[in-house]
Amino acid sequence: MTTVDRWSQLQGWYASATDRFVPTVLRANADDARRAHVLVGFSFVCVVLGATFTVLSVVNFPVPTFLLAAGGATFVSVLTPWILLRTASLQIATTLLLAVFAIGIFFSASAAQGQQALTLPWLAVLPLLGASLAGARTGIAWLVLSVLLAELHLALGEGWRLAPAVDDATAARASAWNLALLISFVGSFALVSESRRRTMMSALAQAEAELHSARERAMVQDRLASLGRMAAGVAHEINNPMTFVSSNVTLLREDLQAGPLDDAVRREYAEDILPATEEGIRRVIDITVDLRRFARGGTAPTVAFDLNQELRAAVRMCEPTLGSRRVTTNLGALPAMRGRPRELAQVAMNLLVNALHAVGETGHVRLESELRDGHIVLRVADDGSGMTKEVQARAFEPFFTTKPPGEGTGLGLAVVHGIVVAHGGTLHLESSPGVGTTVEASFPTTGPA
Amino acid sequence: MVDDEVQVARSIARLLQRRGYEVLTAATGAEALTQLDGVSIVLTDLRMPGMSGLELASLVKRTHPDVRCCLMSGDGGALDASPPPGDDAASPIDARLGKPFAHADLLDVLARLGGVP
Repeated sequence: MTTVDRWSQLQGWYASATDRFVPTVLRANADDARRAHVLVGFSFVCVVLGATFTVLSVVNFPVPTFLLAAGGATFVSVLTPWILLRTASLQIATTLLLAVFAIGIFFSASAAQGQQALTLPWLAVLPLLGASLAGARTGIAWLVLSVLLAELHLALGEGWRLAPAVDDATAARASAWNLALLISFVGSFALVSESRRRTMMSALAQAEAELHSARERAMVQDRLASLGRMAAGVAHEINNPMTFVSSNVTLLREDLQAGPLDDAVRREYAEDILPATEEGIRRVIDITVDLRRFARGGTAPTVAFDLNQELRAAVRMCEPTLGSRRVTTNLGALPAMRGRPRELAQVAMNLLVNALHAVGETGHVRLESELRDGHIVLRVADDGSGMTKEVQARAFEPFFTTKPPGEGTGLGLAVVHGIVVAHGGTLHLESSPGVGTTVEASFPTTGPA
Repeated sequence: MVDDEVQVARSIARLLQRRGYEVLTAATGAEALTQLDGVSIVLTDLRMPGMSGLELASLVKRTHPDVRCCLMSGDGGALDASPPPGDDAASPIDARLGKPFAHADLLDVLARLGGVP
């Protein structure tokens, strides 16, 4: 077995040993769980430190108070994990461990050495350890207690002795051991906390990586799903017209094969069947043109043009279909825009068609343009039926439509989106059911890159 | 022949009429339900506003169990997802036809469903 293997085996034992003593209630909170792990690990170290100090006391300082303090510290260190498990309270377990270790040593050292004793640094670390192990309130309690004990230490004065005085050489040795114990105590606490922090960080990093890959997977799935819906949409929108185009053509062939057409049949072809067939073919062509525009934007060269002029043209094109619906325009002064004017007219046209569809028979549609923060803004607002959140989420998806067949291919907003993006612009849709919809396109005056 | 796309209904009807079939057309399921008497086969589009072709077929079978129903759609995925004819006694569908279809396929389906010109 290599050193690395042994080391990781040791880490495994350590982790499962500390884990055994973490109470279930504290596991619910990640912060509490971390503190409980640190406290348990730290108490293991304290057992070793306390036992070492007990042996040293027996050998070097045959003073009962030293022995009592060191032995008591060892005993309570051993008990701490079980106390934590029983009480499920970080405060109680921490207080016991710190109290016996620090106060015990404070009293024993002071009692035998008076003010020569190196006990004040212990008092300084108590609030720090209390706060780290059991939270701010325990830290504050220890701060108050430490100040009181420090005052007590000074008040008792040089002459005070509880235990028989030790000679100077013994006192110096005791102080040195006391300092060594303090350093090991604080150092091991730092090590235990750091190791726990690293474990937590690596678990956190792993969880984050998993979350990231889950999100990626969800995005890919979402993209595939919308691609699938789009493919089904293309198929449906093309297959429907192709159905009657193909049956009309079959009919024509069969009729021609059967012999000369009589006048009534010829008239039916000329006035009904063939125009309907052409209309079906035009629909399929429109879809492929729209699809190409959606995919890559237009291919016409970009020129400088007046957007308002295109907007007026779009309104004129809608006018014959208005009925009792109203379109009001409010076109602000605009600088020349760079781009493909016919496509911008189509943007306005598609938005107007959607808005007019949404307002029903008698509604009101506003078409506005303005210069805002160096951007040319085009806005179409209606007081129509509005969209639900579900419809809004899919509004720009190709082939998503709420119109009856033949009236909308579901490419209108997708094409608008394609053109706006190709012109370096952004598109914003706001809608609430029953109130209306506002679509706003914003373009830089410089046009497409 | 039921299809919300009027041109589809009309062109199929015309084609079948040339073959000697008597054909009624309807643009919605509700309209179709009012003219079921004497009908032996219902050809219906799947995706229609209001009542879907599948719902229409179920309603037809409830009042006219002898009428055979053929479901048609330009959305192959949706058509495949509908209850398969034959395997399942509960399926209201007797045949499925993907749009667009060859003339011969349509006539095959009609012959299979017992249609008589």
